[in-house]
Amino acid sequence: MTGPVAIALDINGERVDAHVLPRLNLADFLREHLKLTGTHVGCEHGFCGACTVRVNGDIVRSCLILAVQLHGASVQTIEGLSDSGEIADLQAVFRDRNALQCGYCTPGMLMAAQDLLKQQPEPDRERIREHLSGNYCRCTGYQSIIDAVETTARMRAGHRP
Amino acid sequence: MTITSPNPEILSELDRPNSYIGKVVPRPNLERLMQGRGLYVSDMELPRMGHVVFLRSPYAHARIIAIDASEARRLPGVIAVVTGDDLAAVITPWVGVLSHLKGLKSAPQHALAIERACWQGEAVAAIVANSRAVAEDAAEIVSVEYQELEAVTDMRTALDPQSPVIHASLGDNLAFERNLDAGAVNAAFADSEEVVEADFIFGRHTGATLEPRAVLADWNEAERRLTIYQGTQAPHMVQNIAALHLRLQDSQVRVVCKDVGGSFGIKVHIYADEMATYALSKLLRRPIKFVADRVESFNTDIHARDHRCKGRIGVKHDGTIMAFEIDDLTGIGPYSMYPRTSAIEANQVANLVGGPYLTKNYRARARVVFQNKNVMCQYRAVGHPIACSVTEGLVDLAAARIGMDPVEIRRRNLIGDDAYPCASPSGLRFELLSHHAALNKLMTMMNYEGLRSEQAQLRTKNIHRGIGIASFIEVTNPSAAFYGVGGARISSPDGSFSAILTTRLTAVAHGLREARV
Repeated sequence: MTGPVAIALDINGERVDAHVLPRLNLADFLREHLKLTGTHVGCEHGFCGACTVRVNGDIVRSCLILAVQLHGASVQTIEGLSDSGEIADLQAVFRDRNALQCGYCTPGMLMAAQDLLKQQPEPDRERIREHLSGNYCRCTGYQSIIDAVETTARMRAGHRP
Repeated sequence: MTITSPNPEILSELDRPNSYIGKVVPRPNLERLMQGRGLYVSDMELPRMGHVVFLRSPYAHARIIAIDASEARRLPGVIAVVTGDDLAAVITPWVGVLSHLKGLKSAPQHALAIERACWQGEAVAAIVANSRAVAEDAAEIVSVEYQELEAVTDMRTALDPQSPVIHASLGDNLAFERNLDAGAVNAAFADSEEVVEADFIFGRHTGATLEPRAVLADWNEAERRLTIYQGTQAPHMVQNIAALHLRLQDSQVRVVCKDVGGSFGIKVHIYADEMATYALSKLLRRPIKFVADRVESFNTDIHARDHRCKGRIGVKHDGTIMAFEIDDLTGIGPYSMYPRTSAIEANQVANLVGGPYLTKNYRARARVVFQNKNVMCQYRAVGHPIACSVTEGLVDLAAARIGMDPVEIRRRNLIGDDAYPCASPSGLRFELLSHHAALNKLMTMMNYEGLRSEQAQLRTKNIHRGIGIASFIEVTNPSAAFYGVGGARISSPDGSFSAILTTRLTAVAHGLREARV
């Protein structure tokens, strides 16, 4: 095993310098080194989507990408999206629709939903389902989550919820 | 309707008596969870915390000849490698039985296997290091010499005389048997015009909570107090059991349950590896954290619903159901789970079969056997899916045999809406159910006749569409009758008088329930 490697990157708008082991994945880097524990680890195999974050504008599974690959990158996590207010409306509708129960999948679900809403102004329910199909929720049964994303899309497009 | 009071000085609508009933009230913890500001046990860290990884048996049944951890102990970052014998100095074994399940037996189970591993996945050594990654590295270089033993895997042969007995002290592999005979079953089958039999086979399931099982135990040797942070559905039970087996007073153990990433019944039990984590903290005098990884979850979280059930139904040509009979067999692994036991699921199957129907003639045998597989126990909807599948499968087969529509046979046999209160042959008491009103409503909603005619038309085009109907009674929460029964203590077992409500979000909005209490 080789020793730590220096990386410098932007996380939620803050410049971060760190030394990381080559085998450290981004999820563990965020959670254990930076204490950004809003990014959750559910499977560590890229299936469950709980660890979804944004890297250079695209959503990725942070358990499947190594921290050393991110030198110079810009990373945004649920903490960043929450504090900037970027998803305040989406979060408000999640609350109104009770689109979360235990909350463990929710940060990843919000990251994936916001990704879709940025790409496509008014996705239909099928499109929402497809885009969230890589994010597992074991509590809600998904209906309220789809409702919340659909409602947010309509509100952003200037329609009534 | 969401009700909030803008000014806490002024009474809101919710401050009137019974004002919460039927209202949507805000859940207090949603904002935290949505902003990534929740606090799950997986997220927690304490100073001097060690991470434990368990080395697990690759064999279903094996004698442990020797464990060589000398190389692993030399790895930088490794704090300790602990075996079953080491841990037995601080924690006593347990037996997963409850007094209300008469005849249920199980063998003493240790936090880490001693001398013998009884299922593939039983922990045989604990590796503690300053990171989980280092602990996993070290686990790879712990060398265990095993002598493989014959394994009991098939529940159908577990009771055969030629099968090895997993726990010699128990005499056989039968953990529990219940026999129930209500009404006049033999006469009813004799009077039946048709008798239909079928075998129903169910594979193992598990709950797959998105956050795996997680516990952080912090023994403070100076204060002689243990603080357990655990994602659990039953914190008082954890307090009582940890104290009992670590030889502490309940007052020396504090259990803190923060956010829990899903439970579904998976986290209502106490697992050997969790017991080992409490004990490791006491042994090593520092905080120890265990978080199962996903593969470990699939292999060691309780499994459920592994049943083979023979069913029999007697019916008249006019559709009258004369009797039900079942012979249910389930394999639970090598130990009955602690403390709620692994006999509950089969017991519930016996309770529930035939439930919605009028016949009083019901015979059930439920047998629970040991095998060398991961432990099995009850999770969400305990026994209901088995009982419902068997009952409704038998009713459908009977309808097909006598050429009656599956809805019609149910209509002729469901308990009348004016029959309550009444009881099932197994003794479950029913109050104010409305099977007929529900069935009529369902027929209208789904346009049953229309769907049947569409089904017939499609069949001519070689499109086979299925229409399934099932009746079902869900047992509602019996509260203390479940949580305190048979010696499964939840609070104040020492006779002290206090009431402390400490639950957190697990999966079903517990915070909301607290707000209403």
